[in-house]
Amino acid sequence: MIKKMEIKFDKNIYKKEGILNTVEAYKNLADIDFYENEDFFIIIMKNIDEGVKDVIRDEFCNYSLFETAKCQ
Amino acid sequence: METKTIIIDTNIYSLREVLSTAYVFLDKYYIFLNQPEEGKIKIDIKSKESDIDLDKIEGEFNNELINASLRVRVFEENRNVREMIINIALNGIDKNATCERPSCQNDPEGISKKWEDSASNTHIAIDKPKNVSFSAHFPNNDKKNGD
Repeated sequence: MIKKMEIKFDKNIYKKEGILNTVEAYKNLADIDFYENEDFFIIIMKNIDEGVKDVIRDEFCNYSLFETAKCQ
Repeated sequence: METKTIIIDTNIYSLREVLSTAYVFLDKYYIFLNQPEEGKIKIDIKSKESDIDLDKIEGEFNNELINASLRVRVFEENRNVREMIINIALNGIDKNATCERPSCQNDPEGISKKWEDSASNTHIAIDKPKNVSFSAHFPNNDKKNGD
Protein backbone atom coordinates (compact mmCIF):
# COMPACT_ATOMS: atom_id res chain seq x y z
CA MET A 1 0.00 0.00 0.00
CA ILE A 2 1.27 3.49 -0.78
CA LYS A 3 0.50 6.34 1.54
CA LYS A 4 -0.48 9.10 -0.81
CA MET A 5 -0.70 10.01 -4.50
CA GLU A 6 -1.54 13.44 -5.88
CA ILE A 7 -2.98 14.40 -9.27
CA LYS A 8 -3.39 18.02 -10.37
CA PHE A 9 -5.95 18.94 -13.01
CA ASP A 10 -5.72 22.33 -14.70
CA LYS A 11 -8.86 24.38 -14.10
CA ASN A 12 -8.65 25.90 -17.56
CA ILE A 13 -9.09 22.48 -19.12
CA TYR A 14 -10.94 20.15 -16.78
CA LYS A 15 -14.43 20.75 -15.44
CA LYS A 16 -15.13 20.45 -11.73
CA GLU A 17 -18.28 18.46 -12.41
CA GLY A 18 -16.27 15.99 -14.48
CA ILE A 19 -13.67 15.53 -11.76
CA LEU A 20 -16.32 15.04 -9.09
CA ASN A 21 -18.11 12.44 -11.22
CA THR A 22 -14.80 10.62 -11.56
CA VAL A 23 -14.23 10.74 -7.80
CA GLU A 24 -17.66 9.22 -7.33
CA ALA A 25 -16.86 6.45 -9.81
CA TYR A 26 -13.48 5.61 -8.23
CA LYS A 27 -14.36 5.98 -4.58
CA ASN A 28 -14.35 2.21 -4.04
CA LEU A 29 -10.79 1.81 -5.33
CA ALA A 30 -9.08 4.26 -2.98
CA ASP A 31 -9.66 6.91 -0.35
CA ILE A 32 -9.97 10.03 -2.46
CA ASP A 33 -9.88 13.65 -1.30
CA PHE A 34 -10.76 16.57 -3.53
CA TYR A 35 -9.32 20.07 -3.11
CA GLU A 36 -8.98 23.06 -5.33
CA ASN A 37 -6.77 26.12 -5.41
CA GLU A 38 -6.70 29.05 -7.80
CA ASP A 39 -5.30 27.09 -10.72
CA PHE A 40 -5.85 23.41 -10.08
CA PHE A 41 -8.27 20.77 -8.92
CA ILE A 42 -6.21 18.54 -6.66
CA ILE A 43 -6.96 14.89 -6.09
CA ILE A 44 -5.25 13.03 -3.29
CA MET A 45 -5.56 9.25 -3.26
CA LYS A 46 -4.67 7.20 -0.22
CA ASN A 47 -4.48 3.50 0.54
CA ILE A 48 -3.86 2.34 -3.02
CA ASP A 49 -2.27 -0.97 -3.86
CA GLU A 50 1.31 -0.30 -5.01
CA GLY A 51 0.96 -2.67 -7.95
CA VAL A 52 -1.98 -0.85 -9.55
CA LYS A 53 -1.32 2.76 -8.58
CA ASP A 54 -0.09 3.80 -12.04
CA VAL A 55 -3.05 2.17 -13.77
CA ILE A 56 -5.51 3.76 -11.37
CA ARG A 57 -3.90 7.20 -11.84
CA ASP A 58 -3.94 6.91 -15.65
CA GLU A 59 -7.48 5.55 -15.76
CA PHE A 60 -8.61 8.27 -13.37
CA CYS A 61 -7.14 10.92 -15.70
CA ASN A 62 -8.79 9.34 -18.74
CA TYR A 63 -12.14 9.14 -16.98
CA SER A 64 -11.84 12.79 -15.92
CA LEU A 65 -11.11 13.76 -19.51
CA PHE A 66 -14.11 11.76 -20.72
CA GLU A 67 -16.38 13.38 -18.12
CA THR A 68 -15.03 16.83 -19.00
CA ALA A 69 -15.62 16.27 -22.72
CA LYS A 70 -19.15 15.12 -21.84
CA CYS A 71 -19.77 18.38 -19.96
CA GLN A 72 -18.82 20.53 -22.97
CA MET B 1 5.75 3.12 -20.49
CA GLU B 2 6.85 5.72 -23.08
CA THR B 3 5.05 9.07 -23.24
CA LYS B 4 4.60 11.33 -26.24
CA THR B 5 3.99 15.04 -25.76
CA ILE B 6 2.14 17.27 -28.22
CA ILE B 7 1.73 21.03 -27.85
CA ILE B 8 -1.38 22.59 -29.40
CA ASP B 9 -1.81 26.31 -30.07
CA THR B 10 -5.24 27.41 -28.86
CA ASN B 11 -5.25 30.23 -31.39
CA ILE B 12 -5.65 27.54 -34.04
CA TYR B 13 -7.69 24.87 -32.26
CA SER B 14 -10.15 25.52 -29.47
CA LEU B 15 -10.24 23.56 -26.21
CA ARG B 16 -13.49 21.99 -27.33
CA GLU B 17 -11.81 20.64 -30.48
CA VAL B 18 -8.86 19.33 -28.49
CA LEU B 19 -11.19 17.57 -26.03
CA SER B 20 -13.20 16.01 -28.87
CA THR B 21 -9.99 14.77 -30.44
CA ALA B 22 -8.61 13.40 -27.18
CA TYR B 23 -11.89 11.56 -26.62
CA VAL B 24 -11.35 9.59 -29.84
CA PHE B 25 -8.03 8.24 -28.55
CA LEU B 26 -9.12 7.36 -25.02
CA ASP B 27 -9.67 3.69 -25.77
CA LYS B 28 -6.05 3.03 -26.79
CA TYR B 29 -4.11 5.70 -24.93
CA TYR B 30 -3.90 7.41 -21.57
CA ILE B 31 -4.20 11.14 -22.21
CA PHE B 32 -3.50 13.94 -19.81
CA LEU B 33 -4.00 17.61 -20.69
CA ASN B 34 -2.24 20.57 -19.14
CA GLN B 35 -1.86 24.25 -19.85
CA PRO B 36 1.80 25.20 -19.30
CA GLU B 37 1.27 28.73 -20.58
CA GLU B 38 -1.47 30.95 -21.96
CA GLY B 39 -2.49 29.92 -25.47
CA LYS B 40 -0.92 26.45 -25.33
CA ILE B 41 -2.31 23.05 -24.42
CA LYS B 42 0.15 20.31 -23.60
CA ILE B 43 -1.04 16.79 -24.31
CA ASP B 44 0.76 13.83 -22.75
CA ILE B 45 -0.09 10.59 -24.50
CA LYS B 46 0.83 7.19 -23.12
CA SER B 47 -0.02 3.93 -24.80
CA LYS B 48 -2.10 1.36 -22.91
CA GLU B 49 -0.34 -1.47 -24.75
CA SER B 50 3.39 -1.90 -25.17
CA ASP B 51 3.32 -2.86 -28.87
CA ILE B 52 1.75 0.39 -30.12
CA ASP B 53 4.14 2.70 -31.96
CA LEU B 54 3.88 6.18 -30.45
CA ASP B 55 5.74 7.85 -33.33
CA LYS B 56 2.59 7.77 -35.48
CA ILE B 57 0.32 9.16 -32.81
CA GLU B 58 1.26 12.80 -33.33
CA GLY B 59 0.25 12.70 -37.00
CA GLU B 60 -2.94 10.80 -36.24
CA PHE B 61 -3.82 13.21 -33.47
CA ASN B 62 -3.26 16.23 -35.73
CA ASN B 63 -5.41 14.68 -38.47
CA GLU B 64 -8.18 13.99 -35.98
CA LEU B 65 -7.88 17.59 -34.77
CA ILE B 66 -8.73 18.77 -38.28
CA ASN B 67 -11.72 16.41 -38.34
CA ALA B 68 -12.93 17.70 -34.98
CA SER B 69 -12.42 21.28 -36.06
CA LEU B 70 -14.57 20.74 -39.14
CA ARG B 71 -17.25 18.96 -37.16
CA VAL B 72 -17.44 21.82 -34.65
CA ARG B 73 -17.62 24.37 -37.47
CA VAL B 74 -20.44 22.51 -39.25
CA PHE B 75 -22.20 22.07 -35.91
CA GLU B 76 -22.09 25.84 -35.29
CA GLU B 77 -23.08 26.76 -38.85
CA ASN B 78 -26.14 24.50 -38.75
CA ARG B 79 -27.20 25.44 -35.24
CA ASN B 80 -30.07 27.72 -36.30
CA VAL B 81 -31.46 25.28 -38.84
CA ARG B 82 -31.20 22.40 -36.39
CA GLU B 83 -32.94 24.31 -33.62
CA MET B 84 -35.67 25.45 -36.04
CA ILE B 85 -36.33 21.88 -37.20
CA ILE B 86 -36.53 20.60 -33.62
CA ASN B 87 -38.75 23.52 -32.64
CA ILE B 88 -41.16 22.85 -35.50
CA ALA B 89 -41.15 19.13 -34.76
CA LEU B 90 -42.02 19.73 -31.10
CA ASN B 91 -44.26 22.80 -31.26
CA GLY B 92 -45.56 23.01 -34.80
CA ILE B 93 -45.07 25.96 -37.08
CA ASP B 94 -45.18 29.36 -35.44
CA LYS B 95 -47.52 31.44 -37.60
CA ASN B 96 -46.07 34.65 -36.24
CA ALA B 97 -42.54 33.66 -37.16
CA THR B 98 -40.98 35.66 -39.93
CA CYS B 99 -38.61 34.49 -42.54
CA GLU B 100 -36.40 36.80 -44.55
CA ARG B 101 -36.28 34.62 -47.63
CA PRO B 102 -38.61 35.86 -50.41
CA SER B 103 -39.90 32.36 -51.08
CA CYS B 104 -41.21 32.21 -47.51
CA GLN B 105 -43.34 35.34 -47.88
CA ASN B 106 -45.81 33.74 -50.24
CA ASP B 107 -47.13 30.32 -49.62
CA PRO B 108 -49.20 29.46 -52.68
CA GLU B 109 -49.02 25.73 -52.00
CA GLY B 110 -50.11 26.13 -48.39
CA ILE B 111 -47.06 24.25 -47.16
CA SER B 112 -46.95 26.17 -43.90
CA LYS B 113 -50.51 25.18 -42.98
CA LYS B 114 -50.95 22.44 -40.46
CA TRP B 115 -52.34 19.24 -41.82
CA GLU B 116 -55.22 19.31 -39.34
CA ASP B 117 -56.28 22.81 -40.46
CA SER B 118 -56.19 22.01 -44.13
CA ALA B 119 -57.93 18.66 -43.66
CA SER B 120 -60.88 20.16 -41.75
CA ASN B 121 -61.57 22.62 -44.55
CA THR B 122 -61.40 20.04 -47.24
CA HIS B 123 -64.69 18.38 -48.07
CA ILE B 124 -64.54 15.35 -50.16
CA ALA B 125 -67.97 14.49 -51.51
CA ILE B 126 -68.72 11.03 -52.64
CA ASP B 127 -72.11 10.71 -54.32
CA LYS B 128 -74.17 7.71 -53.46
CA PRO B 129 -74.71 5.53 -56.48
CA LYS B 130 -78.14 5.85 -57.97
CA ASN B 131 -80.16 2.82 -58.87
CA VAL B 132 -78.13 1.00 -61.34
CA SER B 133 -79.81 -1.41 -63.61
CA PHE B 134 -77.93 -4.05 -65.38
CA SER B 135 -79.15 -5.79 -68.44
CA ALA B 136 -77.46 -8.24 -70.61
CA HIS B 137 -78.31 -9.50 -73.99
CA PHE B 138 -77.31 -12.99 -74.89
CA PRO B 139 -78.01 -13.76 -78.52
CA ASN B 140 -77.75 -17.50 -78.02
CA ASN B 141 -80.45 -17.45 -75.36
CA ASP B 142 -82.74 -15.50 -77.69
CA LYS B 143 -82.30 -18.11 -80.29
CA LYS B 144 -83.19 -20.86 -77.83
CA ASN B 145 -86.25 -18.96 -76.65
CA GLY B 146 -87.34 -18.32 -80.20
CA ASP B 147 -87.07 -21.96 -81.06
